[in-house]
Amino acid sequence: MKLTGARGVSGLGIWLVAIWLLLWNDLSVANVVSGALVAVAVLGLSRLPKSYCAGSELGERPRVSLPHLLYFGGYVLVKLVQANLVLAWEIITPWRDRIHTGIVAVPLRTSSDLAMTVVANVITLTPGTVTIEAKGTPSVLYVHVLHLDDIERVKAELLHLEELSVKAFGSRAARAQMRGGS
Amino acid sequence: MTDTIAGVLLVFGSALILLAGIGVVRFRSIYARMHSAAKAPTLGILAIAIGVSLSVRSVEALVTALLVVVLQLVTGPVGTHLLGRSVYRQLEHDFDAGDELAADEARDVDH
Repeated sequence: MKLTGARGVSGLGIWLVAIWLLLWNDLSVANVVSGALVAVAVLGLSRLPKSYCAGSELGERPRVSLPHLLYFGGYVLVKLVQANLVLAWEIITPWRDRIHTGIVAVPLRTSSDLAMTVVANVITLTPGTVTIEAKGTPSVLYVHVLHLDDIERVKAELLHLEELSVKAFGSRAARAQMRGGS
Repeated sequence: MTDTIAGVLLVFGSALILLAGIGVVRFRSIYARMHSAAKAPTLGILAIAIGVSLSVRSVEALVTALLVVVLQLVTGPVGTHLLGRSVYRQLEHDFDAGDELAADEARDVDH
């Protein structure tokens, strides 16, 4: 089943209304109506990516795998804590400047917009790495690294992250790309 | 017991955000400042949200805290990307460990 056209957009609208209601913490008619108005305005004003509206070749429905999702969540949480400890240490020991910054190119195996977005976001949350630029076809992420001592290790870690995120909620096509390597 | 854990989490979260603030002031390059501003608040907010839901113990607080964390996780990095991208495009920079983006773009121009 493809997430195409009106169906995909109205599904997104329902999500927006649900979040609106959760933010107000109150299920009343006025909130539902105002939420619907806001959702229509937001969807009307924003330019959604093509994969959401028209269904690109990879615009397949994401398939969530619960065990992989839990593993991915745990992995990201551990990395997030690690990121904070590393950074906190860097901040409170100003006399030991270990910062060697640089930008590495990480060529991704998947070309799915969704997977790319998730990987780019998670990279920004994990230790010492921030996504600076993303390019479409072929998909490459450019990542700014705070402690760039071993380029190959950094790249391998980021590719591992990509693999985990596709396993957790990649579409069928994205999974096939990961396996086939094409 | 629960209150103690909640208290520890609240102080831990606030301390992280304080450290991030110190990092923003102390680091010398704009990129290092960005790293500091991007990460610590995420874990800090996560810890504070768990602490709040442990001490308030109501469904509403839990739902709101969860929403805060999810929205922070999803939107925070996007702001950082945009900041990093515009800094890279607008300012002079020198990276002591190499710059593969500049290398790739120079190669694309040659072709």
